[in-house]
Amino acid sequence: MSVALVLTLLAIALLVLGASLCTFLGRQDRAALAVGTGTSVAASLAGIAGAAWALVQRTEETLVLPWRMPVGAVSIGLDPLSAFFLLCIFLVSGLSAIYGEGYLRGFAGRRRVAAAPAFSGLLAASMAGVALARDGVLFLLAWEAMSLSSFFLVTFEGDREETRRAGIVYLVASHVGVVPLLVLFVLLAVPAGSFGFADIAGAGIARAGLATAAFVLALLGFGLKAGFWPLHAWLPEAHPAAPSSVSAVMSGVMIKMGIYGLLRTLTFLPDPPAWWGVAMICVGIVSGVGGVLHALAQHDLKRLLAWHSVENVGIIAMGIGVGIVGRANGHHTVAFLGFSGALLHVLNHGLFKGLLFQGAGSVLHATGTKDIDSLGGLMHRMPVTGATFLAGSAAIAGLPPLNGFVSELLIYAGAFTGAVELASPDGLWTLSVVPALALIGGLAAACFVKAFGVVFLGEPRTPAAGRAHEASASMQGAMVAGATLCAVIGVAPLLAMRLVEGPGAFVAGGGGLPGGVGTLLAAVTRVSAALVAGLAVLAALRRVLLRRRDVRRSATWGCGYEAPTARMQYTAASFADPVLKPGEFLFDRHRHADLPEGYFPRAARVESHRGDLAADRVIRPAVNGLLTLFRWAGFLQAGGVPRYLVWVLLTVVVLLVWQMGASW
Amino acid sequence: MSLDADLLLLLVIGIDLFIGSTGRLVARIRACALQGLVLAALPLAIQGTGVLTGGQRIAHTGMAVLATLLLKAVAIPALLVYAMRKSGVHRETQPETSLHLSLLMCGILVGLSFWIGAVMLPSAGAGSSPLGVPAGLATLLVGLYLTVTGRTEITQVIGYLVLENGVFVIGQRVLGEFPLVVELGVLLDVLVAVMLMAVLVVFANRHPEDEAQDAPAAAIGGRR
Amino acid sequence: MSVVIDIAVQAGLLILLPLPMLGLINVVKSRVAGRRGPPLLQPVFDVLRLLRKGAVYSRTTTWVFAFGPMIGLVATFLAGLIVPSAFPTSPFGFPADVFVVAYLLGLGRFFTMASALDTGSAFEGMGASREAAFSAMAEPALLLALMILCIPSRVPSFGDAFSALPAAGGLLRSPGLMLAALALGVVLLAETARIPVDDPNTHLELTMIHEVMVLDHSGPDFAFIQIGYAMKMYVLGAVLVHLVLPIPQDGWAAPALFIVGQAAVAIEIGVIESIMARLRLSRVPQLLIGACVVAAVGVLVLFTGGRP
Repeated sequence: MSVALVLTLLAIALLVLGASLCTFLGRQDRAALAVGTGTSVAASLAGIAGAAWALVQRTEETLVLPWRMPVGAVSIGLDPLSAFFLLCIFLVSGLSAIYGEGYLRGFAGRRRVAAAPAFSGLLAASMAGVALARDGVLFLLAWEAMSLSSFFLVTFEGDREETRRAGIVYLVASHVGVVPLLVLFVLLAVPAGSFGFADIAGAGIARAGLATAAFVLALLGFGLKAGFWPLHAWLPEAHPAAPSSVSAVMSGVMIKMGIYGLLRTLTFLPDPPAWWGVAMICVGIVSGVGGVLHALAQHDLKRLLAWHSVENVGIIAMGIGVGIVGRANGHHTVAFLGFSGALLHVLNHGLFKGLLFQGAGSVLHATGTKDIDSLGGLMHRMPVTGATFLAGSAAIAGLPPLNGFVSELLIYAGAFTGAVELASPDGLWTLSVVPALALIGGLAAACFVKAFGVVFLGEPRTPAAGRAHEASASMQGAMVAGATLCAVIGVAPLLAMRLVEGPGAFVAGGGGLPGGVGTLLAAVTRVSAALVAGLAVLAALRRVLLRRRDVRRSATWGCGYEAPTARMQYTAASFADPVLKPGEFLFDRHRHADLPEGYFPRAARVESHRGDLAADRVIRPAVNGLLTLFRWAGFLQAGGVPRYLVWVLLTVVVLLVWQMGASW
Repeated sequence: MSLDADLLLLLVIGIDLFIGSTGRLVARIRACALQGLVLAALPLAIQGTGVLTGGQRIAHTGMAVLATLLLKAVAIPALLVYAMRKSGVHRETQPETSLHLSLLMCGILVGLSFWIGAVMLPSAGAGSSPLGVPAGLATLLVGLYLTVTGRTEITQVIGYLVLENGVFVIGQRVLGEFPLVVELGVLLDVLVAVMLMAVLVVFANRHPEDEAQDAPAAAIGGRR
Repeated sequence: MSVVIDIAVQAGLLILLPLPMLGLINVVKSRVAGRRGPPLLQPVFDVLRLLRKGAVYSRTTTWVFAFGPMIGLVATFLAGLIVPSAFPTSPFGFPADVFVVAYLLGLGRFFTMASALDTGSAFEGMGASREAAFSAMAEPALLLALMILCIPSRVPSFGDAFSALPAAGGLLRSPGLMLAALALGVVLLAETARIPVDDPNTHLELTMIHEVMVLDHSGPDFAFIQIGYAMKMYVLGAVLVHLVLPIPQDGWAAPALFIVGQAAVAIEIGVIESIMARLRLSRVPQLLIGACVVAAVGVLVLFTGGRP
């Protein structure tokens, strides 16, 4: 057993230990929080060390555990793909644990706080289990543990109606998602003769029909967890309902386990046809553009961030799509760039989305609201939260010199190389990623200018926003650490490439780092360094220029109007309107207006709400149809024994008649 | 020579997109006339692959160019403008936002026709422009789209005209030369259709019920 | 040695040319309107005066307000170093620099918008909102046009693309490139807030886009904004010039031809502003979506015509 695996298992053990200690500590909120945070941080350090070790050493090992289960041996293992996702899991959950220490303390005395660190530990442990599992049964068990522990986290504030609702939606969605996965593993296990991943991969699923069925099932089951459009409907409900430290983990890494599952399934299927890649690209474009447009339409900060998860998962799907198309054409560079871009975006999104959810949590903590339009001017009172949120915003918009740019650049490069090197229809498909990414980038920038600008800049729109206070030290520490990591990856992408290189090549089907990638990333470093240096020079110049000059503070220029109030500031809804208007047909739009009428108009009001077309027009009717069906079928279950006996009798008679008919 | 044909065909696609993106009827009709002009120039830009030679060919091309020019670029647009003035409808009566959608749809249709052109109908002769089939299909599809989504008679007829232009381009590109008689027949059909429409519009406008309506309502409500 | 000259020319043009380009636009507009107009170097004088002035800051603002103009200028300056100017290749170019340039411009825009919101003014929020909307719609057109430019040379870099252009026959031989130039022209007008997207001369804050975003900036900050704005026009103009004019690899003709080309871009903008009215705001998306569709058709034409 390698050191890396030992460290990882140690981390999992620590997490489970911490979780059980938390449950024993019960009502002692502070103590439970301290124990939970301590074990989580220790586990994360061990896990990060193990995963990084495995990535650098290119560890590939499988361990068959000496337990017997009804369906065969249980095995765990490490390879570059697992190690990379383990790194993401431990990194983000470690930062969130530190953040949670401060954030959850606010709930002390009001709620059973101990539940949060306990289930957070279990969530991290089960995610690590998913990444380590080397057979279908253990994988599904860990998967289920992951879904359940996150369900309890979503319903942490279960005394609120909307939270309970979100919890139910989440629970149902998770379990619907498991159905295709069950079928998938059974389907794969039949030709392989076992549930072990090594056997499945070794069986070399050659039959096109079987492989396609497996891919489609994986896309459905894992796509539901990842939040691909239109399977995302649960995501904007569940993520905002959880405490912010948990939302960070759920959006940051938990949904990425869907990506992990998809990539793992791809390693079982040796020769993907190009159309799988095209399908992934289409899914990615729809999720990406749809996600960011809906994010723009949100008024709730955490919902907005949840929708951005749909967008970023879309970007990841585009990268995977480019990778599959490259692999199908046997072009290593395209495959590597696509897959490594997608993987790096998994890490990047974990970092900046964790950071942003933490920032949103600090805002909620400080003001009691997450309604964007009742905030404003928080930068003055929360400088650290504001600055880190700004860093996260720029990173998620894919701007240099931060990390989001690097992964998007890799996907761009893969798409372009595909367009140049591959035969016409495939090349055109990979090229279609370019305008989609550009549009998503522009819209994401608009959305985060809106979110950051309306929440942190300007004047407070409500008294609550004016009374805000800065987050506690541990919360600040976690956010600063997250922002620093974003900047490090952005400025030194070659370092990040060392982490992604192994898993990227692993999924791309062997081969190493293609030539040119190193030069490209070195150039990114130069540009980033030049940006920072140029900014420093300009800041110094400005300081020199303004020294001993007349520099005054005054009111904002109101174009001649002398009595402005904070309510006159542009709101988030009005900011987003020009962007959304041309795309109006993509929403389920509700608008209600009492417009001023007559010469002496009374108070006027306009209410608008842009709903989710997929959820309102597809998912909801489907669920309603199912419910009607179930209600109709309810008469079968009358509750009395005589009725059940009638069913038994009827079944026997029908079977007898059928058998007779068959033998006749 | 091939380049000129390329450019003309690009212009045809560009006009399709413009027609799809504007709501003003005058602009649409003018664009239609311009498209007619471009189509009239098209036979001059391509080298014939047909059986006709020498003087016959020149006469044939000349006739085709002249007829197309007269009907597509002059007569039909003039009739349409006349009908439009009479009917008092100056804009497509759809809300502003759906023009974005319409432009996007036209863009998608153009993309689709490039795909169809590449996959299903490989380019005709070796000497001809690879844009021929996609441009023709795009024009045809955009015309169909406009006809289907048009809310007024005039916009529907404009859509029909664009559709016919698409048939014209495809015919020329696939067959090398369109038989003159067929083309003239189609042209005359279109002319008759447009005239009928004009008569209908003008006649309907004289209807007492319509005259009772006030002008803005007529403009907003359109003709249907 | 030649590298030193290359760098000097590249940086020198980037520093010297942008502001006179703005001046040239105003000269052209004045002449068309029959006025004598300001001197060509008026924008330079304006910027120098602004740099010598003090500044007034709103009590609402934070450090983001002061950072906006600086980041905008630095990002645009870097983009200007990367995009080839006098010669078809830039000494600072590298593979995949087209994406980096597009995102550098995006970085500047992001912080300009953030600093507009920092004032808490409804007008500046309005401007930022429009800028966000229109630039998001222009972004796909820009990148698609750049793709059309780069695909023939097989490397996503300005230097390779421009060097390969004359061999491929230049603009006139490729219908795809013509559509790319058309789309780029629209993007140039939208990104630099010129007519028909925005009117830099308007006096009504309610109708402005770029000008209203920078209402509260003064002194050196405003000078940075003006320089950055002019450089943005220069950068996008440079791409357009190389696309349209076959500029030789070396010799003194290259810088001369490039300057003539940039002047032509400025004159073109001036003429458009003189003869056209601004589009209604609700019609601008139509123009930008149109540019995207045109660029997409350009890509299709490029692929249909068989890639070289």
